[in-house]
Amino acid sequence: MSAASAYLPRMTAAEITAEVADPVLRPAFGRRWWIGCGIALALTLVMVASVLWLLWQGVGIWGVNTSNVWGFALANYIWWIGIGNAGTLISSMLLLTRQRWRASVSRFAEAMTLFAAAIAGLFPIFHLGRPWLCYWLVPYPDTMGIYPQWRSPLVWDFFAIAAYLLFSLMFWYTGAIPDFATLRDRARTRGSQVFYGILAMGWRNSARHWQIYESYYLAMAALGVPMVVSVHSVVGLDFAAGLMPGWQETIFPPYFVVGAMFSGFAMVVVLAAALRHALGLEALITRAHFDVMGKVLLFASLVMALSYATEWFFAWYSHDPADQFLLSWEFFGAYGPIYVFMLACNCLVPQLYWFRAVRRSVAASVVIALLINVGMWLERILIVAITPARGHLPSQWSIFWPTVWDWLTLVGSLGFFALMFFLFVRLVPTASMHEVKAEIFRGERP
Amino acid sequence: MSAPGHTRREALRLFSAGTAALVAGCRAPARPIVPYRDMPEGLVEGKPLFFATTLPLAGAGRGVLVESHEGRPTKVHGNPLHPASLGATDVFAEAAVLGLFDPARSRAPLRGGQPVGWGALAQALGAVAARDGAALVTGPVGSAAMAGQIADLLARHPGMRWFMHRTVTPALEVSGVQVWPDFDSLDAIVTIGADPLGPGPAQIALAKGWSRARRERGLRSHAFDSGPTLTSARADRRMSLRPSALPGIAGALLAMLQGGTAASGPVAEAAAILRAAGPGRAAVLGDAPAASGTIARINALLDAPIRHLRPFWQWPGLAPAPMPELMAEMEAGRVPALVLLGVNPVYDLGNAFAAAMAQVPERLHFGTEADETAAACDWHGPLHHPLEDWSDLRAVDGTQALVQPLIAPLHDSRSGYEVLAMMLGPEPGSAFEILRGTWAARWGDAVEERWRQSLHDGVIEGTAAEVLAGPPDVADAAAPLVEAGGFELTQRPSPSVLDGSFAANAWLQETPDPFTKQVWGSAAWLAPSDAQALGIADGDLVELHSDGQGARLPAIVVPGQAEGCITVHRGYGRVAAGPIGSGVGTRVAGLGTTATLRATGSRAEPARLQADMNQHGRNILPTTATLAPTGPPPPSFYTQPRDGNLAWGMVIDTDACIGCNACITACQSENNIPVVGPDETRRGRHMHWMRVDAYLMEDGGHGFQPVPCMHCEHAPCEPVCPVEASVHDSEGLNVQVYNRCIGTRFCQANCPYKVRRFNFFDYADRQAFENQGADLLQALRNPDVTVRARGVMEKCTYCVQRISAARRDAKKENRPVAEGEVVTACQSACPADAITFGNLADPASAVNRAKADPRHYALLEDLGTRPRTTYLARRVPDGKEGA
Repeated sequence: MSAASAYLPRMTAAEITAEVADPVLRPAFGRRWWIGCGIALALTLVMVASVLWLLWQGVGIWGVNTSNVWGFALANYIWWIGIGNAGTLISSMLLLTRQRWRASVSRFAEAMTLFAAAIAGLFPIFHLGRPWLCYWLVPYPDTMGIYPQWRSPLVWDFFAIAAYLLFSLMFWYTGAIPDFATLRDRARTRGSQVFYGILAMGWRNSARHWQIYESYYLAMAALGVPMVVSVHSVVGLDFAAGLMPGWQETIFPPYFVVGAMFSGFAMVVVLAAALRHALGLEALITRAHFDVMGKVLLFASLVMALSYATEWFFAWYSHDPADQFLLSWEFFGAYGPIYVFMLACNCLVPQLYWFRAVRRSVAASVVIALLINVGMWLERILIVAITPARGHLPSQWSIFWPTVWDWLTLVGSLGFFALMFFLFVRLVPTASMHEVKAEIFRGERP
Repeated sequence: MSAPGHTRREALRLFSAGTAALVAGCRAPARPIVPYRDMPEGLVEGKPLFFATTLPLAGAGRGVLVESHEGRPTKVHGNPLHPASLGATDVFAEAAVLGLFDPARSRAPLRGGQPVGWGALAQALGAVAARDGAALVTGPVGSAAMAGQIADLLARHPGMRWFMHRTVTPALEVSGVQVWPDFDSLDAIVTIGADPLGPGPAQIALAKGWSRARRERGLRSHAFDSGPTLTSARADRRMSLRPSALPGIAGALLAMLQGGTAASGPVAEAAAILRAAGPGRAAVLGDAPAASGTIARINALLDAPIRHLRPFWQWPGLAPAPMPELMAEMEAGRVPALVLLGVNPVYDLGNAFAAAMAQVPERLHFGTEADETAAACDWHGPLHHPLEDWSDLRAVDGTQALVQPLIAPLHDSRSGYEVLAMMLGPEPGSAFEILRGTWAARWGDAVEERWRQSLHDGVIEGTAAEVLAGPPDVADAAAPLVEAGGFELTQRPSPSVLDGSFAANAWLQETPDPFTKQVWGSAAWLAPSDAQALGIADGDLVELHSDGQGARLPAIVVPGQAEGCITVHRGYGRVAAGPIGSGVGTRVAGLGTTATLRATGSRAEPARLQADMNQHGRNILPTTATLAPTGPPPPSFYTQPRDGNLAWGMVIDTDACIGCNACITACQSENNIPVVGPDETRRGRHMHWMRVDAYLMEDGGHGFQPVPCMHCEHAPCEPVCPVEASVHDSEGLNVQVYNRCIGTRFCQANCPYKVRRFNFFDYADRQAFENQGADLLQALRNPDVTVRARGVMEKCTYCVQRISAARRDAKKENRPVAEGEVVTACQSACPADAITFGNLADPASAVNRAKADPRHYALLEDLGTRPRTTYLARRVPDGKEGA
């Protein structure tokens, strides 16, 4: 048996299908699902309420101020789009590099990407002073001949997010078509037969279908890798294209991409553990999966540490007093403790992954991954808040502190994400049945 | 085959076009339109008219020109002909229009808090005036007509007594003499406690003279003070010491000048600059009665070019009694009736006065607001705002000028003259008749011509103060005794609300203190060493105890504050100043000259627009000593945008700026800038387009740097806006297109100067602070400037509406825009002439001359933004004259 089989269940094709497809088609959802979904729905309503209040009152309900104009909204946006990075990375990059362990985690990771990117896309809209005019970023034929301003990173952002969202949706959906067909065939009620029948788009499992599917999917994966790199590079450019100390740094685009991968993978670990536990997918999502994802997180953590060190080095090397002051303020200023905690979460704690026992422990992995997610969110908010808090002119220095509405919007967005995930596990096979089967088949070949 | 005339298609086309034109072109007016029956003379709708009038401050007049749009006064400008204005204004003059339209003004007479008619009040007033021993209390009377009325009144009712209640004396008025330096002959001044550049009715005139002397001849100055004042901040050298030590400085200086020892130190340096200036070219200015005799002797020794003028409130044959006498009379029960005209002694003098006043059976109050004193009176009658009233006023330097109404009274108010006329007798008199009568008696046959001329010019020709024969030969008054262990207390009028009479004015409440940048409140200023010894930090709530009175207020540590001395500001802690002024800050008027201080352990974060005055080694506010030489502009890929024949630019002279904030309030008035209130300020939101940054200089003093938009040629805000709301125009202005802005705030995030302001809420209207969205205030708006809605970014436009007006005028006359034709609001307000604005494309323009000055620098020049707004560095002495 090859090492790769540690990522694959010792099951027959029929057992795999039953394991993944039956929970979806089971009529009773179970009490735990209802409780979890109820909580997620309540939090979603919190988000809806805070957004409605925002639209009614204006962005003044947040803690943003004249110098610190962005606050949570942009931090949440970057964090969510970062979460939304990992799914596509797993699907595309690992597919292209023929990593076998991706098969069982790719589906929900892609779903995570889709949901996170969708939530991320909301924040730049709601953070606008006049959100109802967000469509002005679209180059539509305007009677006054006004176009978006192409030099603005926000316009690049708009196109990057829009393209990424569309891509993620298509990639995720087309990857699931064979599995929708399986569900259609196994469905017993008329309703689910029609539902999955429509989703399956006439998939008949013919060799011709598979041939088209494989080449299409590979082409999409090849598209996905530059896409996922570009979307977060553009987010990095939102800051790097500026003129402010701490933002105007060439390292920002790659640093943002790695940071996104880092937080995204951490989220995949959390969700994998949750699904594994809730749906009993121990055979499909194995300890070997956690092991390999731990290695990825360890690597990303080292790159992050290197990025921070590079930032510090160049702040010192620049001889720019504003940059140097900002660096010392990061450690010793008002946000100092948060900054140090962020460094601990992102650089120190993941070093536990050097130990095989930690990597293979689901509980330890989840705790570390949660800390990484917290640390990455803190990093986002610190990037957004530190620079304007200590800009070029001391007279305009002011600290950003969030209001209750900032927190409610953040927590609400987490609830919305959870709600979509709860619906996802009830409607879509959480693991890619056909890919797992194909991997097993490939592994069994001499 | 076609029939003559139109085809069916053509007919239909014409018919529908006609219908469309009808629908589009003709709309029924929402309500009947009434044109002017008599068109006001000179009025062109859409073009403002300017009227000369005079605004009182602490009783003295400052001449102004008021801009009126279709009958609504919207903006106060300085009157170049008036010697107390010379074309400039101060914060109080700029904010007068808001005071006029203040929705919380008193609107109708009250009796016991219930509205009554003026008829009843007039009857009561007439009855009261006849009572033997009745007392009339006014502020300092700067009006000749009113002085005449009071003289008549006292003659008519010999039993009546007149008292003067004053809270603010003009700078340099000491012991009943107005000292008036001739800055055109001065090369050096030493101030001992005096604050000639500080807030008050003499500020504009003295700042004009000071800045001219500084600019033209490099006026040297040396200040001794108990804490930072606008004068000491601008001095070349300053020394802070306890107020009780200030008189001693005068003595030491005199000894030094009389051939004293060659000691070194600040006094010797001060003596050196006085000696270096030579006889007739130097003066010592003081405000402490305890040292006035010594200072007079020094000035005699120096042959100082100063005049001694009769104060503006002294009229021949009239001598008001002082307020302590009134207190004694009231406590003794000898005052049957009290008429208070335009004063608020219950707030100013506190509970003791209120208690004594309660002994008086009949109490009548007249004022523009129903204040604390009105609440303690049986009757209250609203007075006209100065912009609704006829009057005349004498300036601090003695020049008299007429006050003319800009608008019919908004409420059921009366003039102070009419109130006095009600006391004089049954025959009613209008303010106009009384005023005109006074001057007609003086002018005789020439009245018509002189009256018109005076109204037009805003100055009455040939009026000046009487020059007193010489300095009064007074001995130094005894210095106040100070208990050991306590703090000495300096009380100053607030630079924002003065004595509290401007507390209801939201613009002024949001005008920052020059040194602490505190708005909407007051604080106790502590020396850094004292704060450290007591373990007190900015924002700690402290309790001051003095003369049995206590006050709790936040502490702010102020570098330059004398050790052992606390500075507090009057004018706060009003309880009946409407929704804006009530409960703002802490009343300190009851405190004496010494106090003990106790930390309460709790905190009360003051609202401040700037909390960090440190330059952090960045040389943001350079001096001639620290100014780095600038080379040619760095190479850039961007094109040079100066291609037209108009390229606007501004130069701000930080050597001239005295930090008085007039530019801030002028900008607020000109550009319809809303206030945000204390809570929003604490959140770090403010809307001022023009701000004055204060930084600590290398010598420990404060420097000021006014910061409007830099209008960068390579503006960092422009490329980041996704919708092109931030763009450059052909004349080099960085303009903000409000209706295109969607509020991403990227421009402000990327602005290194942080000059952009965002409407986080609908500050101007629906979500305005307190009553500032009131309908009445719509009349105050400048119709040439858009009122910004929620969610859009705004910023300084270089007063683009004024540029447009000048461009239109020039175009109509087919000529280029002339030099000096466009004057920005901040520039016109500035009493120190620190701001130069003009066309950079004109090689002969003043702004180009200023840019060629060796003191020229650009803020954050190394960022390569190429700002159009640049600065001139502050001059520092080269140190040759010292010791």
